[in-house]
Amino acid sequence: MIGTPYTVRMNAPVIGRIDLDNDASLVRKARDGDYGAFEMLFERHRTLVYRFAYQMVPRRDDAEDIVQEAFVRAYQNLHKYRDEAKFTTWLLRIVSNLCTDQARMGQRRTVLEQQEAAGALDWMTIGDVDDPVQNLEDDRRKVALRKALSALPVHHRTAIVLRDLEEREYPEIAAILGCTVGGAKLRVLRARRALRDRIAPLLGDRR
Amino acid sequence: MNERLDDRLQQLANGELSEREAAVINREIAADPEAQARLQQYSDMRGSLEGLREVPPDQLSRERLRERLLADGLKTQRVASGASWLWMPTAAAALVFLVYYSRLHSTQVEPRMIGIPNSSDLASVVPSPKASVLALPKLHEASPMLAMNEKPAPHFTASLAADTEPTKRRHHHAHHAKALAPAPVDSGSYLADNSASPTDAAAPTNVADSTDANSPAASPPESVVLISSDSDAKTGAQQATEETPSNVTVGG
Repeated sequence: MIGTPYTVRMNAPVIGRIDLDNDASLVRKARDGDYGAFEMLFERHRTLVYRFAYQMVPRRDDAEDIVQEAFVRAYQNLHKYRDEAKFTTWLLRIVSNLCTDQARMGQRRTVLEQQEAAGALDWMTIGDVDDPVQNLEDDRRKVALRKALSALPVHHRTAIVLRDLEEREYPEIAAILGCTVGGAKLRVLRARRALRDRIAPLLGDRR
Repeated sequence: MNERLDDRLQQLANGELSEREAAVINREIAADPEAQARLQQYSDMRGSLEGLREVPPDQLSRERLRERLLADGLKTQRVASGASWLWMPTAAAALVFLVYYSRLHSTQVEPRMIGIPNSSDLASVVPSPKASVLALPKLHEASPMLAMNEKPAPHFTASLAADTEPTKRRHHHAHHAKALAPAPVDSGSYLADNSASPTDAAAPTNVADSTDANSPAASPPESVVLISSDSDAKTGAQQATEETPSNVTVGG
């Protein structure tokens, strides 16, 4: 009579099960009107969401606005969340859509960023530094690389951020992007190629 | 360099190939400096991207989120009805159709009042054979509609006058008073039965007349019924008396 639940739980991996159960139970409580449960979800995942948002829109205030908007939308659409998907995957998908929307609205700003990124790359490669490879560790190079990343089309940027910065597995990337695993791999490959084309001067004409 | 090789170099630089696949591609590019340079670029890019993983700390807070949610909750909810504007063209179309249909119906169905001449006039305009004239009485008996069409004009005018007779309501009151009054009242000829009035007796008897035969408006009033405000002691009903119009002063 009481053995069945314990038997089922013993078969699952403990750490992953606890996280998943907690997320699922918190979502259920939040659906039932427990706002404290939703705040716990916010505390648990806000860093993850913020990291992704910051990589997508490298301005802290913009990233915070996106995170906040993502949690607001998540709260308003909790009834649409299906338990079979991970809550973080669902959340990152919301963030990805928000970033896409913002990129579409900010075409003008993107053009300026591209010009600025090109200028930064020119400055980095035309300067009087003898060994550009050494400058890869420099903060200014990081800035240049981030600007080059920001100047990418949003679908390329999303793929690179998810795979190379956040180190997500391809099935999860596919779930976030709403495509197949093969499609996710293809998007990542194309995105890397596009980024390499942009930062080739920065990467150095290694001889 | 083809894209397939480029993709494999990417995967090799990012550690996405198995050891066997990595060994194979390393052998392939051993004699290809361009491919080796490309592999080095991807490796550098990966190292550079790893340097971007650090992010500044956020300033998110529960309070900020709560305020945002509250602000959203206090907003007026817009009615999500995508077809809310459809009622206007639909209503306009329905109105136009209704007007058009009613006008079309009125022009096609509604009978037009055409001056119906007397049978003598009709005979003068359209000379008809004797056989038709002789058959006319039979049609009168068979079809009341034809009989109505053949109704003489003077009688039609009289019927209209009777319908608009202002004393019709008074007649009704007289009937009512007669029924309620306990005291015997001389009802007179028209109150007893209007069909017995001299004017109705003189009217031509056809099918149309049968509908107006019981109408009291067909005969002019010969007396006036006065209803007194005093009520009968036994029954409580008002008393009515009948007077000739010459004995009644109106307004005085």
